[in-house]
Amino acid sequence: MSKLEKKDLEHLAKLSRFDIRPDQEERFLGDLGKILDYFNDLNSVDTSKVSPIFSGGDLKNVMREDETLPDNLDNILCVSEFPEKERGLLKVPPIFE
Amino acid sequence: MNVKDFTIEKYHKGLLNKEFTVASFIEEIFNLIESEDSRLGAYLSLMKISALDEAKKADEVLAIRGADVLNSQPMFAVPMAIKDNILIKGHRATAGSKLLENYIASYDATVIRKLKSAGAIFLGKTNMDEFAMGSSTENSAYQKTRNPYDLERVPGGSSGGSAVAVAGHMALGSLGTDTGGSIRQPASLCGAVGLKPTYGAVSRFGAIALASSLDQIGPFAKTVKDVATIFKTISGIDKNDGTSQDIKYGEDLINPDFEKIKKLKIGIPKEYFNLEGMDEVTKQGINSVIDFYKKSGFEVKEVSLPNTKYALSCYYIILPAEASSNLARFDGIRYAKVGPSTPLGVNEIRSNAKNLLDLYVKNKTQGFGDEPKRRIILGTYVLSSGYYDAYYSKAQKVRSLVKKDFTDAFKEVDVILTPVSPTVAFKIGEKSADPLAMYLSDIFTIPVNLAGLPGISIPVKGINGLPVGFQLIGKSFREADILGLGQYYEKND
Repeated sequence: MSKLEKKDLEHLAKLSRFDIRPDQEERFLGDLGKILDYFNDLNSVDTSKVSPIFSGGDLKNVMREDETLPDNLDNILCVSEFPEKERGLLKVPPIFE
Repeated sequence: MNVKDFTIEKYHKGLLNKEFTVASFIEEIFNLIESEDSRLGAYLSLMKISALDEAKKADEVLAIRGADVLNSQPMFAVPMAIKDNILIKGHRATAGSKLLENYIASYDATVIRKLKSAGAIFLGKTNMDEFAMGSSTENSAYQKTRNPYDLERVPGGSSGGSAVAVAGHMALGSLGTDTGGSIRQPASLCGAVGLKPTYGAVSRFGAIALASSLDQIGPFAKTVKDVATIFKTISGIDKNDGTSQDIKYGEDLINPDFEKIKKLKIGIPKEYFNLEGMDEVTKQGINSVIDFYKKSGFEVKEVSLPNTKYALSCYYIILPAEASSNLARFDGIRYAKVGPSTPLGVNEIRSNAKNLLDLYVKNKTQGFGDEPKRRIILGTYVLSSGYYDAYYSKAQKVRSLVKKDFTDAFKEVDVILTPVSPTVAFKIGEKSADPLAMYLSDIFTIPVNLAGLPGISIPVKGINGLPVGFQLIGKSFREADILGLGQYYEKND
């Protein structure tokens, strides 16, 4: 599989919404390179006839009615954790400049 | 009274015989925490005022209801430590990260709600690797936690604080989370008992998610019986966790029928014993346990789990993939209350942010440590177009093979016995510079999470020096088998 380059790391960091300091880049590339090399052992497994699983257990969909629940103390406490709020809603900086 | 001598069972006997009050016991534990924890570093925050208040109330209940309440509520007044990624309403929950330094939980996790109604008393929140990413608790953004057997060594992780709280006698029981070994490995390294329940046995509601298809909450305690008591209290279906299952665990979970237990067939997977890098004391310890069961008349046979060697790669693709998605919500807004003097400078970041995206980037850059960043990058990579099939999709198929190995083995045996960790506790700093070396310390515990099975770590008896644990792996929702077999080992020589 392909090797991770500096520009890949920058792109992945951008997608992940954080910056990687220039002094961290080298170390991250080294660590991730080693880890990705380790993953190569999976190439030797024949999975052509295997179906993937997404959990260890047997999962079923759990549905409920789409309804608004009344405000309770937990909701009020949750809103109190917002850094900035207006009329019980979360206030954030503008999305566009 | 010396709190170091007590298990949950013995503590209840003491209360029954009026040897001490709940308040005096809890005070004694806080005295011990005050004298020991500056060295051990198990706790991130204490709940002394509320704990002592609860203790007084418990004494009042005891005065009125006496033996009745102790018999009907096995967790009544039991002092517990809780990993800091499990929410207790009104208390800080940092998950070991600077990003959540000011986050106060606005609701109780389901396990906390259940323990509260069972009468348990919470002493404080315990240290952990940041967002439960690590095997030594060295990745905590706050402090080091040290192994009570050797202060120069790690306690294991990621639930290192919860393991040390119990092993250091600073709680009678504790809760951790286990995604790839984060309960069993620190239990093994600290000489405590730790249970990772079947996926779906315990509600994950209110636990800060790492990898949702692998995470389970589970207990630590000093004995298998105590672990069973805590597990029975926290298990059960919950409408707030769609993966939780309605399993009716019986009384045999806590008080096993040893005649039935003696009929269980034990499997020894040969692939777990030819690993390079397994230390001699661990090998000898595990062999002594196998000999014990053989001498006691158990049927013990070799089984094969041929895909074990691929489990680590499989896990370190699936976990970062799920974690990168779960951790996206920590954007520095929703869980970061602005305080007047936050070390992160949240106020400053907010007033300087050009726009919302800029705010995210600034907060995440400062808030996440190296290991979360590494795993988020890795997860984003294995999920990205062009690599999805080679990594993520491949890993999901290999996961299917790992699970099938267990299904096949469980046609021949009831329980599988393995080591927990390839080595005893390692030195602080020994593996922190090499992530891959750290990942390898979970090689025996990871397959259990991939397959969703229950696993328990139990201390090997007669070890001088650093503790060694052995692991019993059961069929899905057959915690009673591994707990019963564990109690049999504890009670007999």
